[in-house]
Amino acid sequence: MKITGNQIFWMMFSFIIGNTMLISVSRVLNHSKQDAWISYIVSLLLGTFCIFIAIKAGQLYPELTLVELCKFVFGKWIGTLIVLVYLVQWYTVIANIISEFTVFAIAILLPNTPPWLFYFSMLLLVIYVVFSSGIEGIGRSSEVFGPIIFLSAILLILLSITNMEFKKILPVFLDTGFIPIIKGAVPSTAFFAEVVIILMLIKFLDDKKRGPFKTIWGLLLAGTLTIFVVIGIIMIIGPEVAAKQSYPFFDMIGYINIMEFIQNLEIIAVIVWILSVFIKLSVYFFIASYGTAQLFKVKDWRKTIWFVAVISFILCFQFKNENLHGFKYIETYWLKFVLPVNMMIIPFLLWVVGSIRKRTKRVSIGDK
Amino acid sequence: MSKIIYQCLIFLLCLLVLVGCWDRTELNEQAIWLASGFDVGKEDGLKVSGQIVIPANMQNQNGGSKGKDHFILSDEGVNLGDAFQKMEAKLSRKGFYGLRKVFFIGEELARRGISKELDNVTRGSEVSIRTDVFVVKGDTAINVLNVSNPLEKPSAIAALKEHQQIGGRGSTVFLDFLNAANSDGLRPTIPLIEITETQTGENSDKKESIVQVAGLGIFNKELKMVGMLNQTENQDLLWILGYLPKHTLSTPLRDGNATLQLHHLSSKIKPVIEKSNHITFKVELSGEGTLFENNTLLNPEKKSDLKEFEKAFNELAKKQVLSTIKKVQSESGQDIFGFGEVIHRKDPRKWKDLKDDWDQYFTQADVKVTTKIKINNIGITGPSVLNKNGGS
Repeated sequence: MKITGNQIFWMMFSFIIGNTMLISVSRVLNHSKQDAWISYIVSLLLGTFCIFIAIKAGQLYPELTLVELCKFVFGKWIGTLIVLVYLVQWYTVIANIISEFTVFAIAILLPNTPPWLFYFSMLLLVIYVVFSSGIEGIGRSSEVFGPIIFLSAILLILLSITNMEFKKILPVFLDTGFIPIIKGAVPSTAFFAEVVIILMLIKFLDDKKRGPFKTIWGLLLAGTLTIFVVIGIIMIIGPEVAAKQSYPFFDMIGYINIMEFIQNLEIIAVIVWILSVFIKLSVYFFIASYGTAQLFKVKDWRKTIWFVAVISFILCFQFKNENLHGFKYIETYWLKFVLPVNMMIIPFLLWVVGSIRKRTKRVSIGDK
Repeated sequence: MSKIIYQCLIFLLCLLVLVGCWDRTELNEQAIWLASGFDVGKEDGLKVSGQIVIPANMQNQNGGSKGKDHFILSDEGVNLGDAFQKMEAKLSRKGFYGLRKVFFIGEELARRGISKELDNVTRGSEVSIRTDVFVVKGDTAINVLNVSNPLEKPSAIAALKEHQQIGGRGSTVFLDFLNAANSDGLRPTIPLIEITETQTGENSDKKESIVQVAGLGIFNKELKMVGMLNQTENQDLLWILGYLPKHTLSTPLRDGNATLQLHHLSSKIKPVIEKSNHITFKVELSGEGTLFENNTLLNPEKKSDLKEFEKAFNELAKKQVLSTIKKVQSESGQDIFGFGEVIHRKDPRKWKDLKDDWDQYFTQADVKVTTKIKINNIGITGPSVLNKNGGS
């Protein structure tokens, strides 16, 4: 299984853009109002920084995945523990993404369809792509879907320009201040920094030196588009109203009306989101199965696919409408644990401890 | 093995053509909802009415009318959801609300307050917040829905088109309303509509009712309607807000009169805040115009005469806008011009002191209006052709 730099670029772009544009926006607007775009710039910088560290850590031993790297750097027991922390994140996030996608699809498109049908069909699709060709298949499909997502997003932003009212974005900074902007940057950083899963993928890149940095370009492109979308939402819907909507991007598109002729383009947003969710799910699904296989030393990693599939299907029912009466997965677990631990501290430790180990090892090799 | 694969493939190909959407509703099994009307119901409840298309009568555009192309349903409930639910029992088809682009609010309901009534309008996923809203002046919403327009038939469509025609805000009215309801320095407004009659000559006693856009309703912070503006004042307001696409001014001049059509309208508002928190707003309005009618002896091709036209129109606009602002300040005291938002944007720190008593500051504020109207097109005649002495 090999993926090219281009494929990893589009893969990471599609991985991020869907959920940041559709789900993250009102969470950020709640804190930083009309300055949400500053929050996004801050979090894009923070996210890029996290991923830079992750890539540095991964490049110490580019032939190892995150699972092997943890075991190698921290020793067998602590390494296994850390890998388990990641596995919990991956298993649960698959269920979370599927259930959020289902809530959206039921609310907007298919009100009478039972949720399990969405869980089942989405999982079936993801299992197909992961089983048939692993990360290579995901890479190739992102190379096709990525540009479609990109062009549709650009089209939607361009068509919205005529609706924008500049004054809605004022006053900049003075109204909210420093702390709300940083508070708003927390959820968006969590969405951007998800890309640290690149640690699992460096092994499969054909160019291990420059390839990983294409991830950063993918992140920057997706982040920039998201910032434009956020500015558009603020200037069209207005920060106060948009913060109360579940899918403000969707409302923004509802206002596109060019000469009474080009209108009702909401379906393009749905397509963008479904394609992006598909890529995101497949990547998570792949690393969850591959990681499990490596942790438990299963020779054929494809066998663990079924295990992951069953677990995530069951978890989906637990996550069903968890925003309403669950424990708020994103707000509690994701923002308070995953963001600091999985996305920042562990990659940083991997980098620091890993490079110390490498140096001492080289010295010891030199001594011989 | 390959045989099984082929069989599977054929099976899958069949799936492509044989399946359909199991929960779709055919067009002829839906009741297409064009407009809703909300009125006061019994015991603090709501009365909801809907204008529903009769597709069979709508199809023949050239063959003369077969009859009414829409009908009205109505029911009461404690809130919108309850009333809609009761109405379902009267409908033989499933309601489809995706095409509802306007709703009407009866005056009585608007005066009672709508802060607790309209949640349902934004909550459902079928209906987008891109919608036009009217308050019915001096009447109930159901009566407006009952009026047919001779050109457009359903009154909902007539109201929408009239609103576009005169340069209103159209589909962003509801969004503006929501934004204003969530803001401290701008009070919400909703356009008014009223029922009038067509003139059909003296002999005919059969006058037809039509709907007419009739100005603007002013709402306070609690979303109760507290005042009204007429259509000219409404246009002044839209000019100050920067939403007005075109405007017409008519003024007496010398021994005749003249009319100007304005476009490229824009506005600038500058607040001057003194130490004692007394505020003066400098409103600067500008626009370019086409001379539409000239019943004077002046020759607009001459520079001095053109200046005289411009001066007259500037004075008129200034007087009109100022009196509108004064009227709003003294009668309803609600800042519908967004003066507070201007301070909010320019000086957010100062705004934090002002916003709690904004209604008071607004009514006491001084306003100075300057207008910059330029005539850059005089049509295809110079002096009026009707006047022999014109232009001399």
